[in-house]
Amino acid sequence: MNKSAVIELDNICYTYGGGKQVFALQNISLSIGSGEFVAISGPSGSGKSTLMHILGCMLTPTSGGYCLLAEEVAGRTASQMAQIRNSTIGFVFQNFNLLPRASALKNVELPLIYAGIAGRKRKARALDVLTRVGLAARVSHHPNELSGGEKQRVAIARAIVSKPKILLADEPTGNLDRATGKAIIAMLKELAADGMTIIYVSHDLEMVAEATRSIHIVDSRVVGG
Amino acid sequence: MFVNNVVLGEALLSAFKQLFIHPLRTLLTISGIAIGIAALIAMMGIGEGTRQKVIDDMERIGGTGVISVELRGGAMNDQDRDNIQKDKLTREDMTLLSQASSLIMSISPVIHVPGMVFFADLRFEGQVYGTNQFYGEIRDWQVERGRFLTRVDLDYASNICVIGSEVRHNLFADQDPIGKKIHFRNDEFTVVGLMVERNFEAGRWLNKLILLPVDTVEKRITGQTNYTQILVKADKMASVSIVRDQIEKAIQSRHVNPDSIVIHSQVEVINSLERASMLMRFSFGSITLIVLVVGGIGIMNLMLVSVTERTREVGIHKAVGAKNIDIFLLFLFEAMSLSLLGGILGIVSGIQGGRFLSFAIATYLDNQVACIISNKAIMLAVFFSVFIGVVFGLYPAMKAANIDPSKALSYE
Ligand SMILES: Nc1ncnc2c1ncn2[C@@H]1O[C@H](COP(=O)(O)OP(=O)(O)OP(=O)(O)O)[C@@H](O)[C@H]1O
Ligand SMILES: [Mg+2]
Repeated sequence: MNKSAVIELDNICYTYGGGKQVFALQNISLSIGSGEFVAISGPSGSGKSTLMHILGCMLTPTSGGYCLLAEEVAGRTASQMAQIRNSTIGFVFQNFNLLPRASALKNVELPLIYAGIAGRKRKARALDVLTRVGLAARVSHHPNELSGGEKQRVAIARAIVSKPKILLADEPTGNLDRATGKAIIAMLKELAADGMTIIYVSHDLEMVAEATRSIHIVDSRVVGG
Repeated sequence: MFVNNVVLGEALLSAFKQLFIHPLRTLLTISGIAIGIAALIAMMGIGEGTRQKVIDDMERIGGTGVISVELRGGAMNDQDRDNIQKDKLTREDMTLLSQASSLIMSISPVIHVPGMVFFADLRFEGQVYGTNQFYGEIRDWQVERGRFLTRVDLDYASNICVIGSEVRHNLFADQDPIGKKIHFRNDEFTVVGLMVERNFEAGRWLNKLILLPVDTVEKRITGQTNYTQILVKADKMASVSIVRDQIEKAIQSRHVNPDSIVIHSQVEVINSLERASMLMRFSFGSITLIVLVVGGIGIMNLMLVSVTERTREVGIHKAVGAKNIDIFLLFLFEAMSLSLLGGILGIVSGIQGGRFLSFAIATYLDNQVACIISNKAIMLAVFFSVFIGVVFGLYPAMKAANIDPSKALSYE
């Protein structure tokens, strides 16, 4: 086991149940070190989102081992998993997933609520990260009053507000134009430079090229990286 | 499981805000609970008002402090019947009872005599009672004109009588009855007093009375002493049960068959009234409960719709660290705030409805019944509405809590 690894996957398999079984991930073994800036690429339906959900502790693998910060994730209770999602991992989605009826500020405060941080302190921290992503002037706007790029910056602010060790981004530029997408990747790169471990999914070669390491998935398996 | 206070506070706030996102939907959903609670409040208010009114009326006829000792009417078998027919309430009983307790204010024998009274060519089917000078005081019944029976009337067994207002109306119309002679059982009795008219329901029967000195009845009509009842008035309401016990002991010491004598006091009447109003409340309560259950189902329905609509939102909350219990409470609080709002609306409209009902009773039924809303009724209503919210919010909240974040966020 790699000593400085923050993420260590050992033969991870994931099968979607239901009527027809879908083997979304098969025997994935991976090791990602602290502070790495990793891009995951692969064709549609290859299992990238499934992998990200497993890394983000939103899905429990069907089999295999997942060591997060040198601790096994398998066997954790639902509330321990929630705890991990709250403080260890930040997640950014392709479709932003902001609460439509809450302001940018309230959206960013959300993880801090579940961390039990109250009042002024919570607001100050949320304002702080919103300023950092360049949205100081947009804090009271609701998602429908923001552009795609701005929405994604709110989503990034929300993902990093509880100072997680790891940031996962599933196609963060998928719904954005090229220039805006590049700015988002640049922002992730900046966070990586500060020591955060970042893993993002993209099909865009230009975006993938920004990463210091790239992992390619085809048909539920890792084929390079 | 542990929920931190920040999450709790935010969940409450969010539940409250959620009510106003779809105001019409909220209003329609809570109307069931509101109607149920309003019915509960109005019924309890009017029920309590009715109860108090009856007790009030009884107080006003001076009835609540009165204990009545009487011979039991029907017996179980011939043996008993013989005993009872031999049994009598006599002067000895009067003496015995008046010495039985130091808490007795006054005591009065009563003999009921059936028959018709006549004046000129008019007749009236009233109630002729032989009694003593304390009867008026015991019934808290005042003389309007003339005088009441006196000790002297009894000693001389005079042919006089005191009449109630209805007797006067039927026999004398608007003439002055004082000094007139009425006929009863081949005898003449001079009217010496007219009693005040009793207007309220529970005291109207007094207006039909023709009161004679008890000695007159014994000597001239029945020819023997056999009281129908002996009325005892305790010095105050609080003494009634003590006096009653003392009387009971005294009576049992003198009568062969203690079962032949029955003792009534208004304390029992009040108790049975309480039982009746309990029963009434129970039946109102069951109907209300059905309405509330229907209201609860409405809330459950809305909550299930809400859970489905907000699947993605739940996914977002969970993705940033919400635990199952946090989501559970979020939705449970929402159901509770819905039903509580329904409850509050119900309380307000129930109070208003009760007042209106009381007004309607006064206007159309010519009866003064207040709508009395106790704090207990309000607390019960609040408790019930919250309880309904919890019961019917439980399943939707569990459903929301178990939403899988990965699936929820994959929905397009
Ligand atoms: N909830 C689900 N139930 C059943 N099958 C699923 C489910 N989610 C995804 N799959 C299947 O699992 C496979 C992998 O899906 P996944 O979303 O991980 O692919 P992806 O690489 O992210 O694709 P894309 O680039 O289009 O986002 C696909 O074949 C998909 O049809
Ligand atoms: Mg995907």
